[in-house]
Amino acid sequence: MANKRLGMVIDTKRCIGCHTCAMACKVENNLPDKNWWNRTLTVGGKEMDTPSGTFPNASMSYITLACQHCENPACTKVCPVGATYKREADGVVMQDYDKCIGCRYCMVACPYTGVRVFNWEKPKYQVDFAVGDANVTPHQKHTVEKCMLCTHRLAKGLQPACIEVCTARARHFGDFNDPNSKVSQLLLKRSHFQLLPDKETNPTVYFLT
Amino acid sequence: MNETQQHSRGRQASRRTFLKTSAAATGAAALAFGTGKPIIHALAADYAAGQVPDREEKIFQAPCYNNCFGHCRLNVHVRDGKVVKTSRAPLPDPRYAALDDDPTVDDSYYRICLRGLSHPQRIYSPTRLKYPMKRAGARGENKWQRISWEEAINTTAEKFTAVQRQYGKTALGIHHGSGNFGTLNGSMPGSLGLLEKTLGATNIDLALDAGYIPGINRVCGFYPGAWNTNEIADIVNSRNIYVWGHNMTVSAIHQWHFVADAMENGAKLTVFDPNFTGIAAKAHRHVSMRPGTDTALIMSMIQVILAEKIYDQDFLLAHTCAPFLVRESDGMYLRMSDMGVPAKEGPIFIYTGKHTVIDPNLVWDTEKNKAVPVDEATAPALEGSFEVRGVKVRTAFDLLRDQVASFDPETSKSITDVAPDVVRAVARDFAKIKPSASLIGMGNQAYDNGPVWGHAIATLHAVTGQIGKSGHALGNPWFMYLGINFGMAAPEAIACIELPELLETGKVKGKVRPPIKALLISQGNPITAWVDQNYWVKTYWPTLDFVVVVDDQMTDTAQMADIVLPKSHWFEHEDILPLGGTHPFIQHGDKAIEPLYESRPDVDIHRLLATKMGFGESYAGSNEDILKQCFETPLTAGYGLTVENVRKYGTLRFQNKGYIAWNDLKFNTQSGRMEFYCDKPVDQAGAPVAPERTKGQRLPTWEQPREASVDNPLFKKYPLVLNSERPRFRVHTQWFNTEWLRELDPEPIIRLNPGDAAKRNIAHGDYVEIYNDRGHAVAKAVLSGGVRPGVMVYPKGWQRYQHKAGSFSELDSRAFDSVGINQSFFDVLAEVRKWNGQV
Repeated sequence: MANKRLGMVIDTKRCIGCHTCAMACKVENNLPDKNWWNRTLTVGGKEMDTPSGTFPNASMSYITLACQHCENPACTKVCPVGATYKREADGVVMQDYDKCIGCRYCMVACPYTGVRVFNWEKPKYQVDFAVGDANVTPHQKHTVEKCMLCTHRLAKGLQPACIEVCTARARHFGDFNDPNSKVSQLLLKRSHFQLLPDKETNPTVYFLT
Repeated sequence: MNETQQHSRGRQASRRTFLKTSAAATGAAALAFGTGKPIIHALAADYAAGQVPDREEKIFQAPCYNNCFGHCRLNVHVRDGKVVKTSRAPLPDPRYAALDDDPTVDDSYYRICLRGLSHPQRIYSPTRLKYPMKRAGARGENKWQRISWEEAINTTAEKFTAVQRQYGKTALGIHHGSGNFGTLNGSMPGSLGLLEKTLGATNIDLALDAGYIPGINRVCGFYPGAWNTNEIADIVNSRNIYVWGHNMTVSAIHQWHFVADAMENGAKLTVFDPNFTGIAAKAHRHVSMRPGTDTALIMSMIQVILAEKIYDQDFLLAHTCAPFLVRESDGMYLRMSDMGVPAKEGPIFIYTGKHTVIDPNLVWDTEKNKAVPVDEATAPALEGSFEVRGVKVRTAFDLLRDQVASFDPETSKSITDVAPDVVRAVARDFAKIKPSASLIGMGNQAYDNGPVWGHAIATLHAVTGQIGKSGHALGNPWFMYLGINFGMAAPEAIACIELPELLETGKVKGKVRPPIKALLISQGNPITAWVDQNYWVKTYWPTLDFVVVVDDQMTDTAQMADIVLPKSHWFEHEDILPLGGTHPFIQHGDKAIEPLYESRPDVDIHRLLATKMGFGESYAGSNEDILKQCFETPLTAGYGLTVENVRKYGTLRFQNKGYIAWNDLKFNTQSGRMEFYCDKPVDQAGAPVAPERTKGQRLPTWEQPREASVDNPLFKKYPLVLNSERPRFRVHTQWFNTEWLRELDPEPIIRLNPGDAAKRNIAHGDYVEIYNDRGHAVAKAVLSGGVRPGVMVYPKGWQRYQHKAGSFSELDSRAFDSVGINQSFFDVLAEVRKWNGQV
């Protein structure tokens, strides 16, 4: 069976920057305080929810940013211990906390600023028990972490947590190697872009315009 | 029916009236909520859409009970006795049922948001109120002493009883906010209403976000709770959508995807808002008007439509008051009773319990060349002056045309600051593109002139015939309900903004009544949610002998209490959510976990208090009995809705799919037509408008906002209009200290236009003081090209302590309009300067 190329299509015409996908990720993966694997960025002014331009000629949109699960990832090449690696079967770029030595080369190499977070201290939590899914790997001090497309959910036949919660119905998940998948079809029908194409990482996250 | 009582109750009155007649309404229920019985959807008990329970995990289901109007249905995942997460649960329409990307399934109402996802943090919040406490310092000093439930209830009962003995039963006020709409544990007239009724207390009504209800219902006829409009899912069938004062992509995020679908179907989106909002960024066209001038803008649009004769003449003649004859002498309609044919009693109107009046309007028949009853006219005149038995009359259409005549786009620009070609374009589009729709938020009604705005927008729909079909929404649906027993309510109610009048004069609307000397507050945070915070803190609260607040967090209001009682979280008790808000489903809520600490469900608190005060018989039954007593009414029975059914099926739809309001074009007015001319206007509470106000309420009438107007002398001192937004990070003040949300949205901000900021040497990120004569607030300046020059916008819902100084609620005016009886949150002038660090 051919390998999958799992990824996302995010419709910027629909996205309203509501942070619901980010919050779903936060809870599902029991992320430590201040850690966000998926963030909502305003395309416009320098502050959240502010447009570019001068009233009334303003414009504003949003993108959500997490690991791009690149076809040609920069991070995996620099990891000295193989803690960050790409799964052959589905293309998910993984982060193995047990192997990670905290060198943060991956954070430097990755052109997508802020998609990885490093736990400088023992992770702290607002609630004193693990929330989210029971199968999430516990977070560790001195390791790098990031979006892994909710592989614990994929194993149960579910989509990543950020997909179904999308209030704008802007997020789609699927296999780009399957020409009949919703994500493949959307790329055929709509104009789209990837982030930082000049870096030649070939992300599996596409934004519809 | 006691008219005096009814009219003293604000919005609540109408709902109560509704209840009293619901016995008569059973057979007519279909009229109100669509045709036929609801389809009961059997939801397999263990099915949770898109979810595979982990080992040791149990999934319960419950709604978000709060007042964002979303009322999403949530899966509540429990592991080791703790809520570990929430997820989106099916809120199905039985004719379809599905998951993402499956075209055979409709997931229109499957939803959750960032707040709904953060419930675990709210439930296990380190600052949650854990046990009853009594004040150990001055009110507001926030010093507390832990006490037992026994002491808390004994003291409260003693104080409440003493106040009622000294001043009268109604000196005890019970105020509920909108924090929970549950039947047993919320603010709907369920158990809390039973408590009000049992104790004979006064209901202190919210008086907010209701400003244009009387205006819309003046034209379309009375409708209980809010107004009648199409189901939101139907908006996908609209071709031209006007969004008014409604930043839905921030404040009502679950509405947006329907509009996005409509746009993908080819609909054109126009956003009317002073500011470039999130939804304006999505729109084909953004129309920015001077704040509070929307009524003038709509009158100008109507002027264009009438002048260019692009109105829907057939609709106007057949379904509106346009051809009705109006007496020039007193502005009253000419009716058959004026011709010596006495008015007759018609059937009972289900929403008021009163007999309708049959007294046909007269129109001028151009073939018969005389006035005839409307139903007998074969060629009614749309316009003209006539004389009928010596009485000079004109058509209502003529009067409307006169009313808007001076609002041609060139002239109205001086009021609205909207370019004439834009006014003409939006007017022409609305008249010509069918179906067109108006989705309405709370912005336009947040000024003193709110009711007139409702009247104007409904008139725009009347002259264009844009109503009664698919794609013709007039207003966003909200507050859609069915299972509310309005019999569970206080014998008296007054609007919160009438409390100052009561304090100062001993009267409300001129009628002497006991003062309010004790308050029980639950589901709300009035100190911060109401206008003019300093008045309540410094002037009003000291006049209260005793205040009890029931909450799960130490809010600004809880800090002003003498005793605070900890309530259980939504997932810690069973309840029924008897309304759908913006969707047409009633929901059952499971109890997923035991109440934490010493917290108790509201209904148990009500029972303890009533029993201690000697009225235990009201709560002698089990919670199940009370739930039945509060939820099961003749109206719900007509739909086969019982507690048992709701519990069994989880969710029950009470409108048919694709519900279209007024689809038979029979309106709830006396004539059964849209009456944009109203000869006997009534106020928010259903009472006749005072004679001196009548003229300005018969037709859409432009009035300046009370304060936020360039013509106000105060404008020279305070030249900025202070608007607020309801941010996605809170619902009013709920979720105020949910840390996951605070990581995204850490502190109060104020959005300023960069030009206004530059004039005041304010830089991005500066702490600034927003101030007027009533008070001040300090917040971080965010410069935004989305803010209209001359306007400031703050995201609402912070507690006082979360500001560096002051609070935004200090700045709002408590002046209110006697027709709207509504808090005017945007009708505020203020100035801003760099903060000097003083508190």
